[in-house]
Amino acid sequence: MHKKIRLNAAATAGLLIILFFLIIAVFAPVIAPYDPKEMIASYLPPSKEHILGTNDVGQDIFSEMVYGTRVSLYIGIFAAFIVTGVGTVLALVSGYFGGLADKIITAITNIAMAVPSLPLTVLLIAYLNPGKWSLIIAISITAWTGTARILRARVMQLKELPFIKIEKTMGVHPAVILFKHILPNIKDIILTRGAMAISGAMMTEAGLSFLGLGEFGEKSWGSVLHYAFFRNSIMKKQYWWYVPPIVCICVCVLGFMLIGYYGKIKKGGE
Amino acid sequence: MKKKTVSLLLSLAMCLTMLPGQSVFAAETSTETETEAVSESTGNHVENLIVGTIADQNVFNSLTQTDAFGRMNYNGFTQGDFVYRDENNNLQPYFWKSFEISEDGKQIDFTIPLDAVWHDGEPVTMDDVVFTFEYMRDVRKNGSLQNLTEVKVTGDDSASLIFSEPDAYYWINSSCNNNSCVYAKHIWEGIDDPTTLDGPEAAIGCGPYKLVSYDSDAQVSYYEAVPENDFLGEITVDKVTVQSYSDETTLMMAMMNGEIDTMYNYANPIDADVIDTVQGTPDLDLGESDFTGCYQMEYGKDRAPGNDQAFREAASYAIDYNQLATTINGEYGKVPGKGVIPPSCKGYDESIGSLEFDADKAAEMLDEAGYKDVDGDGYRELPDGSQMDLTVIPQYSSKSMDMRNRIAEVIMNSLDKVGIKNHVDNDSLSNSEVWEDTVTKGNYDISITLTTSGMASYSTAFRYFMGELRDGESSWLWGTIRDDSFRDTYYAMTQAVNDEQYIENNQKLQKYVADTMAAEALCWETAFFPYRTDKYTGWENYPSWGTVHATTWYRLTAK
Repeated sequence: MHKKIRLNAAATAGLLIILFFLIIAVFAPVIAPYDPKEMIASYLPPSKEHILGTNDVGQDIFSEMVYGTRVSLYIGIFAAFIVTGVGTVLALVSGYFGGLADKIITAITNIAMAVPSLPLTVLLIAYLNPGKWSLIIAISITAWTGTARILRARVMQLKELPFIKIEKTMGVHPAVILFKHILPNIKDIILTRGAMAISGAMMTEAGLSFLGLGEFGEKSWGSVLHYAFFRNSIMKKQYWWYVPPIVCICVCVLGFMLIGYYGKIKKGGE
Repeated sequence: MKKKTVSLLLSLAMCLTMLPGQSVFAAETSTETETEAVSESTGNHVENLIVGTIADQNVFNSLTQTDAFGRMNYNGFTQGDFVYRDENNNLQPYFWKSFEISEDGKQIDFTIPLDAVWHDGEPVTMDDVVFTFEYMRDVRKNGSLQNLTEVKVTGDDSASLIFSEPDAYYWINSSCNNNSCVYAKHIWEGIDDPTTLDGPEAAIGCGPYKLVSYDSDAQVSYYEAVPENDFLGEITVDKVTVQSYSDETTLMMAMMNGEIDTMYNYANPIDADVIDTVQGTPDLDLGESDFTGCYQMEYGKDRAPGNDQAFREAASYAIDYNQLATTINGEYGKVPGKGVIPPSCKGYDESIGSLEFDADKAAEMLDEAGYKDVDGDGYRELPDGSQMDLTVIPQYSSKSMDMRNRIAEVIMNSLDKVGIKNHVDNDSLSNSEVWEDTVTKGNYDISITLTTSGMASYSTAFRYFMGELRDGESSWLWGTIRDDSFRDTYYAMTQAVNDEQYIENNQKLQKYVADTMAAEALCWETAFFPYRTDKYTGWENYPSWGTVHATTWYRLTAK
């Protein structure tokens, strides 16, 4: 019964990337040389004191980036948690019980999938009180649909397997069947979808902050990029301002995508 | 260094040229002002002048100031504005051929052209003029016309406005900022809310240009000259195209590429950051001048701690004005004086000192005033021991919210450093109605607003600081100074019948805000309104305004 757990190279790379950013996020106050809100001197180019220079209001860009990791990961992880949780629960109920419950959940899923997610998210942001949780809710509101649909299909497959049918015949409580026997069999898909949801949420957060829809004064990668563009850093060739957030967003998203695509646990060398 | 010296000399030269003609009272009480013939030489006509802007082009209504169409009419474009301000900020007749104001400031006599036409071919008559004033007073509830008792027609082309109070100067000076122009009676009669009219007739005016067509998808509109409406002489620009861009950067790139000839953004000069990137472009003049407008902040004086002068004085030392100047206007920004209005404004009192950043002094003064950190949380409490957490509200703007947010960040960071806890009112950041409601009710501790160059030319920033206006007025009630003497002085300034009165009252207001620290400017700026110099000649860069103004249509010629 011994399980050999082996990660492929791509997944390992993804894991290392995520680990790297998680360490930065956790130890941000130790790593960042300055308080990201402290105003020192505007538009300083990279130097020993400020390795990524300073922005238009004199804040150290490297410190902004370090603290921005926290915000981006926080929003990405919590949004993914909600998205995956909601998607999983709806898929379990819909796929296992079928009938009216399935019809209602499928209809809701179809409607939610038909709604253009970015405009809806922007609209929600405008109406909700600005803040991290508003962003998380706005990002999550339509993002659960893909997870729900994929998992539903798998649950419907599983419930037709003999061991589930036997349990049903024996009168095992549906909750036990769902959470003890079906859920463990879809955990790979859940983890994969979860990792993808984090990268999706981080991209959306960066996009919203870049559009100026983030929280006032919040230091996220998207907001750093937003002000770099607002202050014409590209035309002024201040690459040290606009390149780092782009690189961080790309690499971090890549890390989660590598886990999502290649991070399946292999059993017995399969 | 060389650039700074040249800039200094240019600024000095500009100031010197402005000095003799600073008067906004172009029509002296006993001297009739005649239309100035500004197009002495016909020269080569400009076939098509292309003006860039970042304002939207969705609304084409003569009676609103919305979008590029409405804003272009501050320049006597499609509308027959009664008067305009020249390069020295003096009022000159435009649609009116001449005007004269009585010594007591209660009467304006004027004449109109008899050959002007509406863009639908109808002649402009005295009936239209009479209708206009009655409509402005009775339907649009124009506050500066509330004391207009009669529009007396005295001849085919002459009439008088009779006021019960000395409001003639007040109205005529504020009219320049209010798009006051002749309304077509056959279009607007019976329409109670002018904003509801959105058909092609809404764009009809009697200005030197008529709207030919527009494309909202491409954000462009096309205009051609109406030779009959040659208020200042021969119209030398045959056609005008107004092209909108999403932001200043794309607008400037279009200008660098020669796609547009000049730009017009009412009260919004090109950001210093963008200017840095276009400096040295061949055939491009930066259109530099001292900006008369300014960003300002006001303490909410309806509640603690803003109602305590000791707190305001201490807090003023806490704010990093150098950082604000850099944030707002880059290397061109200057630390402002305590009297709020910039030196380029009429009546500026140079004897009033400048604001000063000294965080240690601020902390000391706060301690002395009783604002101490009693509970040891790192933030000061009110003298009575209760928690203090200032609410900051930057004025909502769909186009320049980023700048206002950055200004708020600098102010909030400065206050935070001396232990004054603060937060921004998030609801006001993304909704103009919420902001307006909050600021009108005085539910703030610090409000950040902007005085446009148009307002600064006569009404000044002080207009925004009043907590109570005179009866019949309700717009822009953003301030919390509820001192009658301040309000009376303000209205005495706007009703002044000569320069001396205006300056005397203006300086009283400067001294008031300096003494009480009720409000303060955040930066004195240099304005940039760039334009191309390769194709046309006759450009005049009006200070704080740029090269697009009422005389452009008559003075610009092709090289």
